[in-house]
Amino acid sequence: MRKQLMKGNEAIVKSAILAGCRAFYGYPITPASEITEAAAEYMPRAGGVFLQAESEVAAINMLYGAASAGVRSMTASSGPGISLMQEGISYMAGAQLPCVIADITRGGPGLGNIAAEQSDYHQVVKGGGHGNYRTIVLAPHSVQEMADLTALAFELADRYRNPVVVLADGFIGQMMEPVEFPQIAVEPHLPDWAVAGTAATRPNLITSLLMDIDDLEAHNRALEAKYKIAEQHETRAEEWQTDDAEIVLVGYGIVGRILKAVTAEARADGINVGVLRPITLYPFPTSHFKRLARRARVFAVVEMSNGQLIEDVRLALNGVRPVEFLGRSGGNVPSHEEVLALVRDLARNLPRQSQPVTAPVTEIEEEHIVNV
Amino acid sequence: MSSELVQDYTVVQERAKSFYKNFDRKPELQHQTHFCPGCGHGVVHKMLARAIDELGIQDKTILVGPVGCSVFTYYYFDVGNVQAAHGRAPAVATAIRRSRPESIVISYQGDGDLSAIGAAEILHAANRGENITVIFVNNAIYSMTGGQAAPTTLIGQKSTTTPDGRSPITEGYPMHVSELLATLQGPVYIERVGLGDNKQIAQANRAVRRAVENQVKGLGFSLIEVLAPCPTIWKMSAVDAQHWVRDVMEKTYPLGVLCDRTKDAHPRRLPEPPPSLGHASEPS
Amino acid sequence: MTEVGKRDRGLLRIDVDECKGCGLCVEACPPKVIGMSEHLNHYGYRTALYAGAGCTGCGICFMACPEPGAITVYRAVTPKPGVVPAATTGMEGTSQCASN
Repeated sequence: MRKQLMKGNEAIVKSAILAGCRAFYGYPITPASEITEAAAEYMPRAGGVFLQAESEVAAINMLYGAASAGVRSMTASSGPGISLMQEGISYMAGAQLPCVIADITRGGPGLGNIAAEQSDYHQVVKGGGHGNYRTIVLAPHSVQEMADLTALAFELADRYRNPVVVLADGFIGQMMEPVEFPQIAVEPHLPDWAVAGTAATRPNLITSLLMDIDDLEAHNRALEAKYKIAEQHETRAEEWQTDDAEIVLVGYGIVGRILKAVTAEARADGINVGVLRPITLYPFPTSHFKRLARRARVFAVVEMSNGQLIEDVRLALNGVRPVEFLGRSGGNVPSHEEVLALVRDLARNLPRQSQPVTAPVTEIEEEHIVNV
Repeated sequence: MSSELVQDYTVVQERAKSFYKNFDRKPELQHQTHFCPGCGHGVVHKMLARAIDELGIQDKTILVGPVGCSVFTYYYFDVGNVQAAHGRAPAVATAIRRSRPESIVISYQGDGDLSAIGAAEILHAANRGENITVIFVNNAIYSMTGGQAAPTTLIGQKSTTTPDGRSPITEGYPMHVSELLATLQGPVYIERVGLGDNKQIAQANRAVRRAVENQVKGLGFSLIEVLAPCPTIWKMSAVDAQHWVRDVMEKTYPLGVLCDRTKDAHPRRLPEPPPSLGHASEPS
Repeated sequence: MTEVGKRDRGLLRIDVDECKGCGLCVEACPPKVIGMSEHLNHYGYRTALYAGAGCTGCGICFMACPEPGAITVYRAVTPKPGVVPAATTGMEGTSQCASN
């Protein structure tokens, strides 16, 4: 199929339909409303169900219903709406229901503003709802990735029977870029655990309630085991010019693009800098960090927040390398100049290579590395 | 009675087929519900199970259960079961029905679930005229959590959060959910019934059956509000609680049909099967 | 049996393990042929008890009872060659299935 020029927010919907999504329930919120509008346009044409829900609370519970009935379903919102959905997300994780939630982030906390921020990391990666669960989080940085990662999101949601979040920001949602879609559409199929109003599915039950404490502990352990498998097999990250990098810049989403541009300019000045761009925020690509830490002398995390991703970077590195931080918030974007200044500063003051890497780097299991 | 006498008799009332033969909630209580002696839920459960039996829809039925004393509907009803978050059953039911239009989707809720935390969800499901059946069991109190006030608690009624009795000044007035929803254009059938005496129980049975039948015929949104006794929280005997429903509750909540548009309702046709996208051509 | 040779129109069976002794059937029964037992069942409930005679098979006790299977109501089969009488209790939708 030839490439089409499209907005990120529209690409998500087309990709979802081609991935077999047949239910969309959303509520308007800037900067995600276009996704709901595109779904209103396209979902019925594909024979799916679209409904504007009365609130994000209702929307996530409609996803719970659709998923219970065995239908691939999706919603889209921004930070304040995702906050409202947290109860529902916890219920879906507990009941082991798949769904895809797009979070196109904006300024916070509270009403904040409608400019882009990356302050939902904690909410979606650490889990904003109650209980021992995780959501898989995919962070696109281009319109093509909006499409590709949405399709991947549906696969992972079904594979792990868990909600998956596609975390983008207003820039990625609004920008227009060429995008290519797959040739073959995924046809919807009915999972055998669903409750679909048929004789075969009549014995099935969707619930997250387990009154017996041993039963619930066993269930929690089972969820944990599921997440462990995801941690082994589903991490994805992009490494950009990291082979000889002494400074590794870390960022996701729109920041990833800024970091690549800064890297190009800094390299021209002879600075050995590279970019590690996590694509899965959960499961976190820890082994990439450990491997790069062998050669790199400092990591610098750049975020449009007060420092949320940086906590996971520090956890991954476990103290073997220093981690610097550059953050902007309120809708301000770290400028090319700011980041370049940071890189130059780090290059001037590189820590000595005398610190050996004490933590052993575990063998890298099957991962998806994009090396450029 | 000796068994040879039974052969001269035929069963006219027995346990509905739509109940599970064994209740798996606790191994030592396989033939007992968890409901208190005299609980209204037990009676309504039987009415609903009978309606499912008579209409022959056991395989097609999906029951969306609430949070409250009736959270365990999935242990009792041998149909497809989905347990929903507190108040959210109408939203869950909406999505199930829209994606599985051949199924019969029933939402079963208590008064705290439906009129307090779930007020928005029931209002909008009713307003959209979703083709579902809602069984609303109203005992004017939050029973499962120990007796807190509900929007439907009566004026002067004591509860753990209105220890001096509900006052209109601080807690407002009892909410008449059936009347409220009847003002909307969406619903096709809303009736309030009670479990106050034999005649009312018979009428309640007919109403529950009617509400499910409306959905089978594809007519639209039906809601039955059942005024039900709660002997334990009301601190009465089961018989006194039944009398309280008839003599006290029904003064605030009169029984009757609030809305009946079934004659004018057009049965909804099932949607066409969706197109197969197969090889994705240029999207329009 | 009310008299020798004349049997009741109805018959009532109470499952003593399922009954929780709420007394609603006692209240509901029109001919008042249900009472409460002196004995406690396994769970400590004082269960309902059929008087043994006088049941009309109306089924009202069944509708009032909150338990799914605590009460089973039977109706006498009128001996007519090859015909089973239809249930006429005035209550819609009574089940007419063979006892299992």
